[in-house]
Amino acid sequence: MDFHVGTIGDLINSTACDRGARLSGEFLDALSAIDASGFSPAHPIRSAIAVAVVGDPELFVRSFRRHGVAELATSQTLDAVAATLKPTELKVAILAHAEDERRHSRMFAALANRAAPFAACGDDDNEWVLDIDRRFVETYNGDVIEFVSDLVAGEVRSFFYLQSYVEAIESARPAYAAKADTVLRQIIEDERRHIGYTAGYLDEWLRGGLDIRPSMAASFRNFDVVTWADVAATARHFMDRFEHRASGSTNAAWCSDSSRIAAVAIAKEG
Amino acid sequence: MDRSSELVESLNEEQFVRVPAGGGTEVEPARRFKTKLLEKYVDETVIEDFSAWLAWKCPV
Repeated sequence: MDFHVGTIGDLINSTACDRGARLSGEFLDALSAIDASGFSPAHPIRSAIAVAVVGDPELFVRSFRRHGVAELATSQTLDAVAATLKPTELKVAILAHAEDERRHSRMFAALANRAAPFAACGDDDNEWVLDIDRRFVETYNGDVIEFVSDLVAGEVRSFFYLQSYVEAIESARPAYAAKADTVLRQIIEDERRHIGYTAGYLDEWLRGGLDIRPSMAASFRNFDVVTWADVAATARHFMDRFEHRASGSTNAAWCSDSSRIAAVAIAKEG
Repeated sequence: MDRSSELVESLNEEQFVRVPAGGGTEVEPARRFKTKLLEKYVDETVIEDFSAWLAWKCPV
């Protein structure tokens, strides 16, 4: 399957088609408005960052380890929310989703381990990633409707993240790509399924008379803020290296790309 | 079928109530629908004072 999908609306609509469903015009209009606001993971800067990460063994391993921990954290959040629900199809879907995230966590760890011998980095302390989700669970107010809205935005972000990695790995690391590609595409396919069921609920609720558009817009906005902060932090990492290597650099093109990424990301953050 | 016809076709009875011809409010049907959804999905035994919580989540 060709995963290249240009916009959030295209992506979510394609997941609806996979399910044999058709989204309402109101819902599609809401997605178009989110697209028009410039959702960060679909921004070209995200693809540029992915290329830079894949070209840096240390950051590549660290990124995939962190993805693994983030997937584990999400699975724990999903379990906690499911525990607050009555036994409905939604609860079954969220529990199955949690199981997928645990599997993804193991897959990311395996991908990082495969690349680790080529990276000069020790183990990272990713406990802070788990803490973010623990704090979310502690303050969760029980509103599963808002939670599903957050889920859609999170899964869409993951889809675009992973797609940018697949493209970057295929061009920069062909030897690794063959093995990584199968694993990443399986995860991406799962993310598409998660987007499909969560967006399906939101559309159903919108058709039923509940205006979930403000909640959905807020969810995408919140994920956007976090993602741009992450982009800026990654860009700063490259910028620091550029400063260290500037005097004796042998890779002018790499330095130029990195500084360009940093400049755009920091400007965006500001 | 043009876009307007598709939209009309996708509307259900509650949405017609939500947008009355003479204006009026769409808050009440939406509030009732959200209450109905939360009652359907959320286990009332895990929320302390479920009625008060529902009133907070779905204010009149």
